[in-house]
Amino acid sequence: MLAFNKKHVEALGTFKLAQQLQKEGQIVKDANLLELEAASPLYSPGIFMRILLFVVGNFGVSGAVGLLFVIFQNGLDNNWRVLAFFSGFALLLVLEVVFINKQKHYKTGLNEAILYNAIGIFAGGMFGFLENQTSIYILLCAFLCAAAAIRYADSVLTAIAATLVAAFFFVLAMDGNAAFRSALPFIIMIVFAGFYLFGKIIEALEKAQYWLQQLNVLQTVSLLFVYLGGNYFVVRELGSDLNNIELQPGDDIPLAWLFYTLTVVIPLFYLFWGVKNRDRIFIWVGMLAAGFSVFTFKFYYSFGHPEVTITIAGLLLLGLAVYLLNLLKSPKKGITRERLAAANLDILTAEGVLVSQTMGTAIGGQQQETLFKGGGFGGGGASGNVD
Amino acid sequence: MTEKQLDVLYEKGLLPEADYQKLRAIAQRKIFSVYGELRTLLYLGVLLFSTGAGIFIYNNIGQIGHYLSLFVLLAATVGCFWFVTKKQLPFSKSRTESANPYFDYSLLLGCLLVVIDLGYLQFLFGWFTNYVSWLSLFTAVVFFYFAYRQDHLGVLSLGITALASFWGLAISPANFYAFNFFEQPQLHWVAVFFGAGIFAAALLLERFGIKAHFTKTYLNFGVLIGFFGSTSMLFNGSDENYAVAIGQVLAAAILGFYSYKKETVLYMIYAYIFGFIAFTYILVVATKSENLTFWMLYLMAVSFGFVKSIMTVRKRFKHDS
Repeated sequence: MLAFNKKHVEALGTFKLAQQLQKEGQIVKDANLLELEAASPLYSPGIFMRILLFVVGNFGVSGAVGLLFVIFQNGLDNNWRVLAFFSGFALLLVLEVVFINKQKHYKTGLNEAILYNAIGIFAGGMFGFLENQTSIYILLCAFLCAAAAIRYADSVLTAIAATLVAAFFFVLAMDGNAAFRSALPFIIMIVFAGFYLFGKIIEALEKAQYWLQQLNVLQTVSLLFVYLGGNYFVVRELGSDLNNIELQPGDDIPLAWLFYTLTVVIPLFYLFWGVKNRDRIFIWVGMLAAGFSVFTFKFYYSFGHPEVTITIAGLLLLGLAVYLLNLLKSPKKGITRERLAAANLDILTAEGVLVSQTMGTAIGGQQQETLFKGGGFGGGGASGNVD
Repeated sequence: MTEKQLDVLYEKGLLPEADYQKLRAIAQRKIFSVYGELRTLLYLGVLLFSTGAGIFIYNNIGQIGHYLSLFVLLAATVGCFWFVTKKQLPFSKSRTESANPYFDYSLLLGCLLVVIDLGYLQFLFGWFTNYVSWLSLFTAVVFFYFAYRQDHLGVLSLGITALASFWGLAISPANFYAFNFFEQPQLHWVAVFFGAGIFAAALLLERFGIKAHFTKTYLNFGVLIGFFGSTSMLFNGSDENYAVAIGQVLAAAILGFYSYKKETVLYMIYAYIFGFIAFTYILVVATKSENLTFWMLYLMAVSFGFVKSIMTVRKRFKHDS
């Protein structure tokens, strides 16, 4: 099932862990990791190299595919679909033979560039055949992505495949009768609860160790869709789109009480379950869902002062964080506020970037806006500063 | 990290018994850290509170008790900085750990409040009407001071942003995407020189060993601002800008070489993208070719050549991540 040599993947994982532990000091500095490194011939570079190779790879692939289409552009007419399938296969062949088997590329960015383009071209070619059967088309694309996600252990395709399944049911409901349309939220919730359980059960299997990341992605996306399926905002807005009704003020959707309840209960349940079972996926999705639930209620019951809501929400979050940090000063039942070894903290190392991207905007924009207004500078914007 | 991997490392004698047991407990989730989750809560809290308070004041100017709200804001700012000063560790030229879980966020909130304070003072008293750009400079100085004293990358980014806005450059993602962060043509050159200046300053500071881990942040800003400046000159200018394009190719080559020297691929990404744009620009302007086959071949050849060359030197970037 996996395109890569399983032994090599395993050895690579162990080596990377050893590298990280050595950086953090659990493994002594001068310990020799050469033997571990030699156990896997796979080439798997760091994140920057992956980005670079992904960018360049995309240029290269579009050049190659573009060339094919330019050469055969005369007399292409309806044969473009055949050409699309052909180039998709050719790309996959190159990926498997040259990059995976010969050059031992493993998630190098180049793999992804070729793979995503191949999938995209396949999907484009298929669309030519199934223009009028949207639901079947979406389902086929979902299968395509899922198959590729399994074969190449790819997280992005896993997420896309799961999302396409949700889209499939949505399109089915669009064409279906009223009963089906009103059952849609429950269908989505049940299907994705099933996906979640599937991911959770498979994860425990010995054989699944090569897809752990993808199974986690599947669980995350599934939990998100279970929540979104029952979220009042989603049900109401998508529901009125589906049924082509404009809800008048005072109108409400059927079973509104149920969806209100779900909007409140699901995030709380996720958070509770996550903390109880030490399941990070539940905690993170729960935090996201809680935020979206607040938004949902504020959307329909707003006092017209979003800034007050934001300020109070900020204060509450700060208060909550301070409370929890104090509570966990000494670990409670093994839950600690300290950073542990070998933790995956990519998101926090990116904090500097995050700060400048989110808050830097506030500074530049806000400061200038307020100041220019007060100072009566015409024109405003950046130009006023250079004299 | 799985138990199986830990077993392998332990059996190979790489992990001491004590560490092995500790790591096993983590892998089995007997110990569970909410470090990342709590920091995210603090971060979101600071973000929402400072944004909300800023908008609130902006919208309600003239309606709420001015002196009271100004007092509350100033008190909060002073409170943040008081906490930071109380908990701070002695200054060091190298990286320091934060003294306390709240430390980083208290500092960040304080710095963001400074901006709100200044804007509010201007509203109330109009003190800074004639010194608007100097206000940016003042903010930048405050931010840089705290970034260096308390070792805070986020505040450093804010400082660079403020300094750029002193020169008239509004850096924000939104502006980047819309390509309109230069409303005036002369700002292109300002951006190029600002970028180059930041770059040079960062290398100088690194040479003196002052907070060497800040270099990456500086260089990122410098490279992006500089290249965005020159690239938008290529596309917004009316005439054929050979000189700028050649300059950009050279700058990209130098940056690529620097990246190679430093054994990090990060700058290679920028070097490739901006070098590619400028080189293609020269080719387009020089040949004026509309032959698609030629361009597709060009795209393929450039990518192939680049991948090939970077693969031959990939050993150099082994420890980069």
